[in-house]
Amino acid sequence: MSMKTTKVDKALREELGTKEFTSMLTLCEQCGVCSGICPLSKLTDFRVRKMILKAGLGDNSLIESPDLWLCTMCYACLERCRSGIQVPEIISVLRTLATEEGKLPDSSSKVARLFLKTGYAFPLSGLTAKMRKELGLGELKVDKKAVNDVEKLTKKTGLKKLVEGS
Amino acid sequence: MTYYAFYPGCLISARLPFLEKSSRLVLGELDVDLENLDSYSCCADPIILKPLSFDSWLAVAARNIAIAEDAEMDLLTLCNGCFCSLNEANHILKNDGKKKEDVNEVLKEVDMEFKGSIEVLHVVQLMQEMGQERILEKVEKRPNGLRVGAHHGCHLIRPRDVAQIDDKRRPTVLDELVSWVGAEPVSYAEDLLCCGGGLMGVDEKTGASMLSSILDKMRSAGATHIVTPCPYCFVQFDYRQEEDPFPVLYLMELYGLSMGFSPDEMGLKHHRTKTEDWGF
Ligand code: SF4
Ligand code: SF4
Repeated sequence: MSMKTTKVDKALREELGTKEFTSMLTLCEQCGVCSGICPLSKLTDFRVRKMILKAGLGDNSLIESPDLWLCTMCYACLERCRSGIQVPEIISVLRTLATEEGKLPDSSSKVARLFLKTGYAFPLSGLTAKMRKELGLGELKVDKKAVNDVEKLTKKTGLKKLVEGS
Repeated sequence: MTYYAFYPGCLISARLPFLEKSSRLVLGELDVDLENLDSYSCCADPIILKPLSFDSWLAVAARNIAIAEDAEMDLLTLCNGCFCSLNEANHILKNDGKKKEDVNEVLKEVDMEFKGSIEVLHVVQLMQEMGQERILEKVEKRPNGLRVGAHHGCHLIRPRDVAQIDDKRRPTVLDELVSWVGAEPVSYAEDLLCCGGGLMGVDEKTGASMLSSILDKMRSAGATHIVTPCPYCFVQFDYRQEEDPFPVLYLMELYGLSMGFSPDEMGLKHHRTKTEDWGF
């Protein structure tokens, strides 16, 4: 039986390499250990075991679902999976793909844009400046060299275009 | 004197400078010299940025490591997120010649090179290396009935083979560090689970439920305070507890109080969870 190639299928193949992708498909036992340890399981409808099943089937609905953004990269599943399935890596490939389709959540987009603009993932506020002074710590400034370098590196490696468009 | 390239990380620098303060006081007391190097950027963070572009994450992390390499010092960080990113990138690039070659091709853009000549350390590892005896030499006060819900934070201990902090299936390094200075760690379920901090932007309700589930477990175990070595967990615990909150201490704050530094000089008044009782 030949299966139609979907964009999820294609991205996973390209990013993870054909070999790993095949072993991912065949090696996931669907044992559910990952869902058992994942803190999201008892609080939401997200089940990581099902996500891996769908990923193996190249199911495009994965990149439409807000659930894709729930994983906090806590690595608990990675540590427990006896088959060595790289769950966080698979989720990352899907997030990149979803971002290309304009589905990056606002909160993450804000962090990424701030990082590209200032080199920091958190805003420098007047309140912190006051606190730093009071505590006798050095002044915190946006470092021009850091910002320029980050711009060059992320331009070359993809993040800039992914987040800001071309 | 031991010298380290100091990498406080952007969460601590930009939002929680009092954690930098207590760390500087404690490390100074332990004769650790912190070199402030210029032009670091965010590590890049492992929760939001890394999953978007692995290649950008690796290049940015490699650049930060290369800055410390040029100063010929191991890099010391106060943050689980920075540790996770920089240590993993260091690990990958030291062990994968092809990736190192690729990253150095990219780093040419900024006239830098990753050599693989230094280690990345979390302040927890530095404490482990120093050992209890050396720390006790500087301790002046013992806490009084301080029962601690110790929360490691995911990115200090996982992935285990990369973090190499504690190879037990159930890591206890933080419990040990807490007990060294006379506080009593309580044993609670969910001690190794995510605090929910990484979810607050995308799904606040679920993030808050994760937090309250952990708090319940700490409460039933009889904790009086929370201690964490992670500034992300710190924010989650300190800013977002609701009823009857536990006072929260960053590990270096606990050590600072033990060494006799006052809450005032460490800036503990900037904590959101107010208390008169720091357990000493
Ligand atoms: S990813 Fe691993 S833990 Fe999860 S169902 Fe598949 S084999 Fe089991
Ligand atoms: S890494 Fe993500 S999917 Fe895996 S256990 Fe943690 S939150 Fe769940």
